[in-house]
Amino acid sequence: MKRWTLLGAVLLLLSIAGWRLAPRLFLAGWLSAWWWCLGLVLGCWVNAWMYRLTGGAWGEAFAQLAPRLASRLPWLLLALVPVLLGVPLLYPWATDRSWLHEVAHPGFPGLWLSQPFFFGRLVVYALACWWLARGLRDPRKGRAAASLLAYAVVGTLGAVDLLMSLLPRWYSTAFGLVSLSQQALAGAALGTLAASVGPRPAPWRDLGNLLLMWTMSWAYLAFMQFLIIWAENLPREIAWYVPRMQTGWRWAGLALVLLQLAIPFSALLLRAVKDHPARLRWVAVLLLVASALNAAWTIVPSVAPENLHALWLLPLLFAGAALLFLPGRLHAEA
Amino acid sequence: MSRPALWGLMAEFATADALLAAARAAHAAGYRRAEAYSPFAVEGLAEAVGFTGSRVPLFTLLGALAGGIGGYFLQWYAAVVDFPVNVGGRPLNSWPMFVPITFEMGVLGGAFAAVIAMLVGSGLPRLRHPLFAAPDFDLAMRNRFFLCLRADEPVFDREKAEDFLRGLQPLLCVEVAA
Repeated sequence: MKRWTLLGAVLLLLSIAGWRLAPRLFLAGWLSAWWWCLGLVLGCWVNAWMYRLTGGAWGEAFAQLAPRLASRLPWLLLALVPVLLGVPLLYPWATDRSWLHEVAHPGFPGLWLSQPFFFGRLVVYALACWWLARGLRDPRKGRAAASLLAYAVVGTLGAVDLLMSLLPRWYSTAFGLVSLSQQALAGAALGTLAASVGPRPAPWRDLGNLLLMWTMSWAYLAFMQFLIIWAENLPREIAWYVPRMQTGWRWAGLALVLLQLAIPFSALLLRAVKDHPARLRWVAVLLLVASALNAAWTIVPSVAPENLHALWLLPLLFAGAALLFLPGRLHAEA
Repeated sequence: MSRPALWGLMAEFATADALLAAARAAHAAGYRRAEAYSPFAVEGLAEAVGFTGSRVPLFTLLGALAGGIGGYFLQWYAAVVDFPVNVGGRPLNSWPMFVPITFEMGVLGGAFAAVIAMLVGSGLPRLRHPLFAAPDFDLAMRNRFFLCLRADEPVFDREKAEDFLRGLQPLLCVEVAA
């Protein structure tokens, strides 16, 4: 498995060429690949904590996989350093403070989005992630509940700080929830994939229904955010959707609707899919690909919506990050 | 003396496992329309009596599609054809606004279709069934398990069926009059 790690490192090194060609795009791509990997780890833990609180047989895959995913988490957290070094380049609020004049009460946003406080918060988030993911294979119920609560807060704040603040004056109160549901969906897909390639049988229909539930949750939250912003059509609010709907990224958005909602939703309605691990595996793979696309679609258009280098740079970054930060084998030796 | 018309022969068992074994034996013996009754859902019992699946999911899907399409059409017709109003410059066919109602109507249509298909497919509603006159059958709601071989299937032969059921060591074996 060392080979795969090495290949991941080589891919990331190759992607450095993107830094020379389009530095902002490179940083945004790095951030989106990083965010995707982190979401897989935390999303898998979310399902593991839920399983700990509810019991049953469905979550064995998550209880097995989550600690294995967390084994490379320290390296993953360190991989945020390039983004931290690039904060003045990536985040408009870091250098240009003129946007504060357009805000009615600039005191709090000005303080919240200031570099020292921002870096301090990121350190706290990283420590929180590390604490969350160093859970044992069978955490106590109290710990699982506390982890879920802490994850809801840290995951929301992390999404707001790292992703939402790429457009300084744009905010959506649903953004954190959309991001949390997306991570839980991706984690559930990874856990299902791990179970389907693993040696032991699992309650496949339950796993299929879990994926269906997360798919519908994400779709509902993401669509409601879109619907409200679309209906109000205010310049400050649509700023987030314009680069996603009036550039080439519209095709990524359309692909997301198909790959993360229409196709998996239709497939997961059928017991002919849910009861067969070989078929369920393909739905899980599809959802994993869609979750990577979703991470790119959520971040990159806010930074460099029309840069065509994204077409080769993003796949390189995502493949490299996946090989480097996710375990080579998804299931422990039987 | 002529016998009364027969609806079936029914055996009573004390445990779910005994019923499951009896149901499998009946299916193996060629009874394709045997019916089993238990106070709670028994894992594998439906498969044991040869229940392969129903068309309820298909009708649910059709009902959901009909409800969804109908819901969208209702909004489209009202907003575009019947009473077009310019609301804040939005297009008349504001499809994002129509999605929630379309989804809800799809759920409603699917639920209605599922319930109606389940009732029709089960032969419900009906006020009387020959089984209710059979002795002990009220215990099927409490702590007994029943297997009934129906007289209306081709392999059914009265004596053979009785021998078969008695061979399963039931608590009781009774005739169910039609």
